[in-house]
Amino acid sequence: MQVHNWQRIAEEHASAVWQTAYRLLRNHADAADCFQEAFLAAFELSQRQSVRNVRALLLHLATTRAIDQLRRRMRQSRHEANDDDVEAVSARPGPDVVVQNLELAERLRAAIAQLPPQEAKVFCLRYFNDLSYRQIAGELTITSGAVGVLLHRAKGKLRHLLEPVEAEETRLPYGT
Amino acid sequence: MEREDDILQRAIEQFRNEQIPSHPPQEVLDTTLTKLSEATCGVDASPARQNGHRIRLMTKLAAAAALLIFAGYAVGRLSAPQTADLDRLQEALENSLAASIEPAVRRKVIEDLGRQWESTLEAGYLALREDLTEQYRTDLLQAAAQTLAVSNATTHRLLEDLIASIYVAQVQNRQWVAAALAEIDSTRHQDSTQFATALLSLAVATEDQLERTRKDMVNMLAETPDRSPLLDQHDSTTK
Repeated sequence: MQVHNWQRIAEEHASAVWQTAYRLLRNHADAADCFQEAFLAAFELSQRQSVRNVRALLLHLATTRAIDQLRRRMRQSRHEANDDDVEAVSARPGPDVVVQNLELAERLRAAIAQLPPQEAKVFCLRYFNDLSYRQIAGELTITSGAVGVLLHRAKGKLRHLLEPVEAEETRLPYGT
Repeated sequence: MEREDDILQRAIEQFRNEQIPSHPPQEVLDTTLTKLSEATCGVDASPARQNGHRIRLMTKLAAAAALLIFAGYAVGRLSAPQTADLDRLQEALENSLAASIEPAVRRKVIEDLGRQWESTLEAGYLALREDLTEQYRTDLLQAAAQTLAVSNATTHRLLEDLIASIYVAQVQNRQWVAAALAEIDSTRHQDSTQFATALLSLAVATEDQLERTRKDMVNMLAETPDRSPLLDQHDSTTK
């Protein structure tokens, strides 16, 4: 069994894991939970089996937990009143641009939550963590071809989920 | 398809470009490290315990150095020609070593602790300042976004009301114009009917008057002694 210095690993990969969790969740408390769970799960996993790529494993675990949390949140939001926990961050663009960008990002977040878990993981690892097909395949124990197929399906579904709202946006105002 | 690609690409870019904190908050990292330490060896790895460990280690090193020096001195003394009072020299050496090493160790430990606390406080201050700035910026943007959203909704509602009012006014105008046109047409019809009736009456009255005038003329001519050729012509025409 490999021996890892988890203090060093935590300090070394803290930023990447935190950004992965926060980018998907946009909520401090949820991201903190996800961050801790990812490290503890990686530690427990390393006790049972050898870990080849610690960074990829941590990103995979963080993405999985963030997507799970995102799906739970989306399920809740269907039943509860929407109190719009908007956490805008950068003050550079104007409020209207911020609102539009936030809406677009929120729609993508909601669309990811509607994807099947495996497709959502592949999409996030590829586009938000910049992992290669081979790294994703290694982490999810599937082939690189399967990664490509899952990615293609995920993109198709995301386009479908994003497209109607875009069409609605381009309509003339006030139904004229 | 290009448009769909465009929106997905835009969404991904927006998602990736969102400003997010680059590092986790220190307390989250500390908690995670503590949990990892507990999971790894079951001991508490708090900073105070680490400091204690360092202090003990440095004390041990200082004691070992003192012992080494003392042993070297002792060996040197024993191997050298004997002098008068070994015990007194040994005592003096111990006192000298204690006096020279202990303050240095203490000073070193205090300096280390001070540096460590200073760096911790500085990091905490920076993190707090960053968090507060971020929170302030977030609150401002949130307020601006909410204000804009409310303003948009209000403007939208007012414009819809205005459009509805214009539409109602247009309908009313059309109804008024249609009613006015119908009334004008009805009046025109009545006027033409009355005019035709009046014309007919006038024609009848004119004809009666003409007949009466003709008869009066005939009677008048008949009563006249000299019949005019015109009257004869009239008689022959009548016959």
